[in-house]
Amino acid sequence: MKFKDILGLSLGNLRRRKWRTVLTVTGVFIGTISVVIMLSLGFGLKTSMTEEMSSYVGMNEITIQYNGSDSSMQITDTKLSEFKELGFVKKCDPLLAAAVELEQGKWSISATIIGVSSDEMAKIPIGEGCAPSLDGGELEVVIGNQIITDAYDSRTYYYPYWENRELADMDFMGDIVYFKFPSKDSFRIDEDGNVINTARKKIVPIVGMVEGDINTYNKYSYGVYAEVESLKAYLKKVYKGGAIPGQPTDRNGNPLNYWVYQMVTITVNDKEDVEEAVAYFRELGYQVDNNQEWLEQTNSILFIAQCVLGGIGAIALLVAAIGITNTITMSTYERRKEIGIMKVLGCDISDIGGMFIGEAAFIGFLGGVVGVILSYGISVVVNILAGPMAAQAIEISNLKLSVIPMWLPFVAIAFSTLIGVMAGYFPARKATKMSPLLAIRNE
Amino acid sequence: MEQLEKKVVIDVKDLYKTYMVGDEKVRALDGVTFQVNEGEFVAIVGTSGSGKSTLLNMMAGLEPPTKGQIQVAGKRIEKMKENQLVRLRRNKVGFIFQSFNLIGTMNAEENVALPLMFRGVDKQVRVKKAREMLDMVGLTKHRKHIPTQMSGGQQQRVGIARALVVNPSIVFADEPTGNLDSATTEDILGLMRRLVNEQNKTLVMVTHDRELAQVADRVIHIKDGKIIKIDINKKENVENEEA
Ligand SMILES: Nc1ncnc2c1ncn2[C@@H]1O[C@H](COP(=O)(O)OP(=O)(O)O)[C@@H](O)[C@H]1O
Ligand SMILES: [Mg+2]
Repeated sequence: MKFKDILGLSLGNLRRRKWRTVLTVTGVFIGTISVVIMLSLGFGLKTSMTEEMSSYVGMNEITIQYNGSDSSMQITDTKLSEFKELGFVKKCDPLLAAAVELEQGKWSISATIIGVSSDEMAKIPIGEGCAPSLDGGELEVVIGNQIITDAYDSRTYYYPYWENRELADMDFMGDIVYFKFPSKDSFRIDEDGNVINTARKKIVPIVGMVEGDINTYNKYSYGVYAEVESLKAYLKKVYKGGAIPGQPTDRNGNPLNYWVYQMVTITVNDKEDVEEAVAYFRELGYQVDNNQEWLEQTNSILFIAQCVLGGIGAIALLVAAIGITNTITMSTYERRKEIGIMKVLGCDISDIGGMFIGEAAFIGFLGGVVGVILSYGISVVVNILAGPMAAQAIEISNLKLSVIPMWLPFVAIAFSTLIGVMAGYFPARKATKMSPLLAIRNE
Repeated sequence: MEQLEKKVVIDVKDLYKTYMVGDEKVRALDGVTFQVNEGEFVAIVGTSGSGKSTLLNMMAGLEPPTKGQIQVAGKRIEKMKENQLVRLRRNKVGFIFQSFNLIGTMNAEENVALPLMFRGVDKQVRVKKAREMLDMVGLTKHRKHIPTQMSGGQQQRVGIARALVVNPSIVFADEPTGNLDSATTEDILGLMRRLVNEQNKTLVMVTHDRELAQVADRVIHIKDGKIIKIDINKKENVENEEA
């Protein structure tokens, strides 16, 4: 019997039992969608994270912070030179943070100036403007592309972005922005009960803005960045030898003669040294973060998530497979007589089996195709609706939550067809064993 | 003399069939031996339950015997596997059923073309062949009718066309007129007789009606699974039928 004719008989039978076919196909495409979407979520996250990780931060870097109260543990220049002596350390890039209030017209933004090494500075992607000059001259800063969303009206404390998704009409690049550096007694309340802000008000040139529009997040989006040595010099000047907030003082509140860094990025000689370095600094009592560890953790969490999600999909497909088996079994029993007639008329037994397997395979195939098409739609919707939210939650820019690789639709359709074939195999085999005498008996 | 020179196409030797019904043995066939020659029209006659259908089914390879030999078209079939039996039927055997057994979802043309489809014949060729067969049985106008749109007699004509479309050398028919009224019965028997003569087919027909059996060249009487008598009808009888 010609393959075309077997397929014709199969399709004819499916067409005749339209409603049942539709229901069975529905089961298959739900299963297919589950598997495809679940896999696509995994691929999406994994791709985004790996790209993020390798693009922004080298895998041979770790960051350490100290949040305790032991002053001998604080990260100072002395400590940094000690760290540099360690065999596995290639270089140390300290990070110094200073609180500042940005002001333009009625708008204010509470921000942090972050002083980074020139190496770190070079990593910041600049959109508008340029990077600060590193010649040790006047302080220049780069401003985050999303920081404007934190702007508030300094009298009414109205946050236009967070309350109404409107942007404050501030102009960082074209107009003067005042930098107010707080001190211990920044706010005083006068006799009439008015709040008087005595913070030191300066003008710092903003020379560039971090790349990206208002919706594009990267890890520099909310910061104000300066070169660390210029920042130190500038802060000294601003506070005129007085205490700088966040920096060490003696018991009387007088400044001590050294700087404490909030964080340091340590580059190790080799990726393989990361583990040793992490263990070393943890042992000392520092809080250590590194991307490799994080990536491994995230990967294993993702893997578990994919397994769980894939498992749900697999169960859905298993149920669909049972549905197919059921449909084909019903079909063979309904057509016992027809099978008998076919046998009497000389139809090859394998063709009879093939007819039912063809039915099952086509249900699987159709379910796969419909499932893949719908999956593309769902993937797009997921990326539009949940993508930006998830991007913020896990601090990744350009996150595509759901990615369907080129090969996935083909594999999915092949797989659902295969499931159809397997689900149809046993009922089809049973059909081939039905006696031709069923055709002959009357009634 | 002419009879003796003819080739034997069906050779049944010492055939037994025992069914177990509960603990009891039912001997449906109890030692049957006979031969059918090429181009012969043989009727098997007996009362209900005498074992006629069992015998026919065994000759068509639809059921294995308990004991004995069956040779059909030169091949021993009692030990054949099902796929070999199917192939034999596909190439050599046509079958006409009492209840017509047309596929309800197919029209007359498609039903007739079905055995050709099983042979892997191209659609155009098999449709052409099916139409010829329908013309031959007088159903030119009913090609596109599905079984429920045809009378019993018309359906059986489709059944006959379907049995003959592959040009089989042997045709089996189990009570082919059992579901038809007497006028239609005569029609159908006449048609079968005519086709056998024209196309030199071997036809084995089962019936419980002694009258109807008279249309055959030879009548095998069977009772309780045994052959009790074989009648040879006169040639004139046949010629009357043809006239
Ligand atoms: N599948 C079966 N199981 C048990 N007994 C059967 C079966 N088929 C036929 N028989 C018995 O065998 C005998 C002959 O049956 P059958 O050949 O159908 O008779 P006929 O066709 O002459 O009416 C009957 O007694 C019947 O009851
Ligand atoms: Mg019978």
